Amino acid sequence: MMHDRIRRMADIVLLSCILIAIWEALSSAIGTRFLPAPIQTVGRLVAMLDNPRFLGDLSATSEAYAVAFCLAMGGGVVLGLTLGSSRVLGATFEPWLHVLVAIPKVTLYPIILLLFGLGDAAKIAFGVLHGLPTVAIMTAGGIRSLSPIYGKVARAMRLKRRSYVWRILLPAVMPEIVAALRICFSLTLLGVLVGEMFASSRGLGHLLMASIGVDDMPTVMAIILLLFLFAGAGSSMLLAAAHRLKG
Amino acid sequence: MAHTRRRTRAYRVLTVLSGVAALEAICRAGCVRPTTLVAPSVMLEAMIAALRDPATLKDFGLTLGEVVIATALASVLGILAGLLLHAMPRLRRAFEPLIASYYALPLFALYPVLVVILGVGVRPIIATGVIYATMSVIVATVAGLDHVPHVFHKVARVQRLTPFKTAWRVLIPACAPEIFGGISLSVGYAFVAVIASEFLLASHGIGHAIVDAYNTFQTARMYGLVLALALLVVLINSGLRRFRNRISEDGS
Repeated sequence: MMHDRIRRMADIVLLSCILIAIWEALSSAIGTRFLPAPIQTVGRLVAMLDNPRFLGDLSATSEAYAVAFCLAMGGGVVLGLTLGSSRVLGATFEPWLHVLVAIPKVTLYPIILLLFGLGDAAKIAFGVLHGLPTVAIMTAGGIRSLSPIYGKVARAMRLKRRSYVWRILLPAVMPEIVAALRICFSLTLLGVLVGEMFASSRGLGHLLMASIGVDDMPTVMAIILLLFLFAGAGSSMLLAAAHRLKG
Repeated sequence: MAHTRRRTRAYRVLTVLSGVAALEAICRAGCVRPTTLVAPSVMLEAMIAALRDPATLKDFGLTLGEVVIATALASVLGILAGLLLHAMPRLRRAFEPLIASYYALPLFALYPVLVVILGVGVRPIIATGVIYATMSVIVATVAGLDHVPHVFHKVARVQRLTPFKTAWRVLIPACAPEIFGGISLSVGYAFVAVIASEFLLASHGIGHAIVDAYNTFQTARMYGLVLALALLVVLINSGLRRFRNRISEDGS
């Protein structure tokens, strides 16, 4: 077990080295002015982490992301529980959630801007719009695949609706909720960042667009690297949690 | 069963109609400014007006073409990469964190790099589409290959098929439904990436037309274009889903 884990870590390190080598080769092929080399990118990232303006952008994004993530997760689970426990509600509203998942949500961003105004509320709403429908669909799907015996037990025990939800429904769909957590983690992050890239005056997304505008490729690559490390670490942790929950 | 299905369909139509009617009433009563939200009837009119305009139709065609090419490239690349990853379990496990975090990244920020490599125009947009769409084909292919019965591999060995023939004649047909599922997901991802790049960075295509309408305060036209695009995507998705259901029914 331990040996297995060490080997896996070694494989990941090896793969990272290969990917970094490919990056290095690409950047020397097309010129470091257009695609900065790995060492240059890491150097820029370290320098940026000392820069108070960058730290301001970072905290603006983190705050918006934290709020959006909680809203998407909480709202998604509540909506999923509601749609999953009622056949009529589910059949009526779930197709619309599927539509919402499918359409490119960037096109809805101007509408969100018009409704929420320029500022943090719009990018939070945009992040929620990315994460919430998927969480709701997965939670509702989890409830629908439960064995009918759970409902029967609850009726036999004469559980109140509230204790049925808290003691039976929620624990039973926990695996789906954890899986949804991981997807919500990524989708909401992307939503907030895209929200910042368009019509925002602060945050990492804004910095990204500003750097693209002035051809500051080292900063662009440094931000992508930072996001990649954050998303990779977060997803891996949630994946490990999901595996442990499955047993 | 047929009765309940008809009833839920009635509910669905009823909720949509009442939603649209409420929106129409709110807008007509002047509760919201027409620069913020326009009535559904105005949206529909604007959509029809936009679709009559050859320049807008050209934008639609351009975007659709980019999506189709990106999906085709992503399918080929994704199946090849999926076969490779499945054949090398150690590589596959090492790739897991990358796969898990892939869709959180705003990879279209790499657009300037792609422009340097591929030039201005449709090619960098198609490339961002491919970058986004490939991963879902890879994931579906690997998952499909996991479910190929062991006896298929044995038969291929007994017949002394080359690795290429094993993949082409046995493995890919065996997990065709899964692969097709991945490809139909990848259409969605290609759409998202293409529209997002057009929206944020390019100067052509339907994504750019929407931003342009927003920036020039043509609110009705913007809603009309969004509506047209949403209808198109829903149409494509339901077509793909119907086709997928049919092939998975044939398989079982």
